[in-house]
Amino acid sequence: MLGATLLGGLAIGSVYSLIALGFTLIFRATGLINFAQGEMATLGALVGYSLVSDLGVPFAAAFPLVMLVGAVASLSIDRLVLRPMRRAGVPEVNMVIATVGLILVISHGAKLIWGAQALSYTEGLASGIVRVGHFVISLQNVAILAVGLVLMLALHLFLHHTRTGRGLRAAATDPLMASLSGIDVNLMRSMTAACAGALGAAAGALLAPMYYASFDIGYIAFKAFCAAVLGGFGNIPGAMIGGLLIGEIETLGSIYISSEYKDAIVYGLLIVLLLARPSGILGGRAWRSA
Amino acid sequence: MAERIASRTTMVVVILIAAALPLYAPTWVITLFSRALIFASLVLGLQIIAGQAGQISLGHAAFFGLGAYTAAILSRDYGVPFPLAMLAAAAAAAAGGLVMSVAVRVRGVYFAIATLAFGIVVNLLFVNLVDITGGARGFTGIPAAALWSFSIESQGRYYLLVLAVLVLQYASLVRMAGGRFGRALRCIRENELAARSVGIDLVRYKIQAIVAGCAWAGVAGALMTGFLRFASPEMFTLLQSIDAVTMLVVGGIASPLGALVGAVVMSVVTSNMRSLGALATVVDGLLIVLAMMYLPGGLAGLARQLWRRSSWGGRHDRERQLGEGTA
Repeated sequence: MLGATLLGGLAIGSVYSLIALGFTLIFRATGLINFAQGEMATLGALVGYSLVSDLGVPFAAAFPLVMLVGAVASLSIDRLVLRPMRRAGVPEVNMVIATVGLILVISHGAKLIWGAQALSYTEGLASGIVRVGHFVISLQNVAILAVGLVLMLALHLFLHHTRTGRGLRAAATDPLMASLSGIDVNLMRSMTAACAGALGAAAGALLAPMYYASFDIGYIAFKAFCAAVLGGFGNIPGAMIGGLLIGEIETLGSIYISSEYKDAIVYGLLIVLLLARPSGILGGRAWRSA
Repeated sequence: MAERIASRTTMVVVILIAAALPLYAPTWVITLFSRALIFASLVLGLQIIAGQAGQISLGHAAFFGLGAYTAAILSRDYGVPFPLAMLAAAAAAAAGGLVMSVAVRVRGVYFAIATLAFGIVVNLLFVNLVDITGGARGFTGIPAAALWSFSIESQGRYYLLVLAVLVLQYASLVRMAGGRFGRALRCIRENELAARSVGIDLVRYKIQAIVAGCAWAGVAGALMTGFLRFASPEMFTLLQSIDAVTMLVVGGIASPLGALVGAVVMSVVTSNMRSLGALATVVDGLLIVLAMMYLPGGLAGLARQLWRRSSWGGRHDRERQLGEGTA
C-alpha cells in the first residue's frame, strides 16, 4: 500500500518537476517569473487529447507533437509579449502581471475551443498493474515517472554536453560576457523559452491521461512553483528534486492528514518556506540578486 | 494651487452627479453601479498595498472574503446592525492582513507569491469550514441592511450607502497618501536603501499599508454581502484577486483615482460581456497584457498625459515649473 502511494507521489511529482524546470530555465535566462508557464501544461493536455482521442494518433507519436506545440506557444509569448516589454524597459512587476494576464487568455481561450468539461484520454502512456509480492504497481505511474526522468536527463545532457546548451547557460549566467564571446543572447533566450514550453506541454500530456484534460489544469503550475521554491529557485537540480518532494508531500498529506486540505498543506509549506528558508534545499541564486 | 482647486471642484461635481443617479437612472443601472463602486472600494484597498507601498498582492480576495463572512455572520446570526457589522468586517480583514504581513519579509515577486499562497489557503478554509461559512453551497439568509430602524433595502438607498462609504474611503486614502505616511511609502517604493538611510522604518510602514489595504477590502466585503445578501467561496478565489489587480493596473496603479477609474470601467465593461462567457475572460486577459505593454500608467496615466499635452494643462504645468524655479 505504502509502496504504491509513494510511487504515485513520485509520478505526480515528476510532472511538477517538469513545469518547475520551465519556471527555472526562464528565470535563469531572463530574471523573470513567467506565470504563463503553467498554461503550457494546459495546452499540452488538450492538444494531446485532440490528437489521441479525436484523431486516433498513438500516444507515443502524439507526445513529441505536443512538446512541439508547447515550444512554439512559449516562443511566441517570448517574441510577441515579453521581448517588446524588455526592450521598452517596462518594470519587472508589469511583466509579471502581463504573464498573469496571459494565464487568463490561454486558459479561457482553451475553454472556448475545448469547452469546460473534463475530457478523458482514450489511450494513455500505459495501463494495467503488475504485482510484485505484496506491491501493486501501476504501470502508468511507472511510465510517467520514467518519461519524466528521461526528459530531465535529456535536459541535463543538453545543457552540459552540447555547444548550444553551454551557450544557453553562458547567456543566462552573464549576458554581456556571453554576447562578447559571440553568443546571440536573444536567440538563446528564445531557445530557453522553447525548451521551457516543451517541458510544460510534456507535463500536461503526462498528467492528463492519469486524471483528465480540461482548460483549468494549468492551476497545478502553482504547485510546480512551490516545487521550484522548495528546491531553491533558479536551481535546476533543485527544481527536479523539489517537484518530486512536493508530489510526495501532497500524496502522503492527503492520505495521512486530510484530503480536503492537501492543497493547503502545500501552499502553507510554501509560505513557511519563503519565510524560514527562502533559499530552498539546494540554495537558489534568486535570493541574492532579487 | 489652481490645479488642486480645479481637481477638487471636479471631484465634488462627480460625487454630486453620482449621488443623483437614483433620481434619473433605471434600476439596472443602479445595480450595475452599486457593484462597480463596491469593486472600487476593494481596489482602493489594493492600491494602498500595491500602488503606495509597491507590494503586489495576489491574495486580495481573501480579505474581501474575510470581511464578507464576518459581516454576514454578525448580521444574520447575532442581529448586529449593518454599520457595526461593517466595522467588524474591517477589523477582521485587518487582523487577517496583520497575519499575512509577516510576508513583508520577502520582497517584490516573492511577496506576490506568498500572498497568492495565502489567498489559496484562506479560500480552502472558506470551502471546508462548512459549519461557519456554509461551505461551497454558500451563505444565505443575510438580512437587508439597515441603519438601525432606517431600512436601506431599496436599490437606490443601498447605492447611496455604498457611494457614501466609498467617498469616505477615498478621502481618507488621499489624505493618508498626501501626508507623512504616503511620503514614507513612496520613498520605500522608489528606493528601499535610501528610505532606510533616512530613518524610515520599512517594516512598520509596509505592515501599516497592508493592514489598511486589507481593512478597506473588508469593508468592500461587507458592502458586497449587504448587496447580494449571499456569500460563497467562489466569490473570493484567486481569479477575483487577479481581477482586482487587473482593475488596478488598467486604471493606473500609481494613484487612488486610477483605482476608482479602473474598477468602474472594468466592471461596467465586463458586466456587458458576461453573456460572452469565457470570451469575456480572454478579453480581460488581453486587456491586462496590452495595458502592461502599452499603458504602464493605466487610464489615469493616459488622462494625465493628455491633460499635460492640452493647451490648458500645458499652461498650468508651465506656471508650476516657473513657480518652482523662483521658489
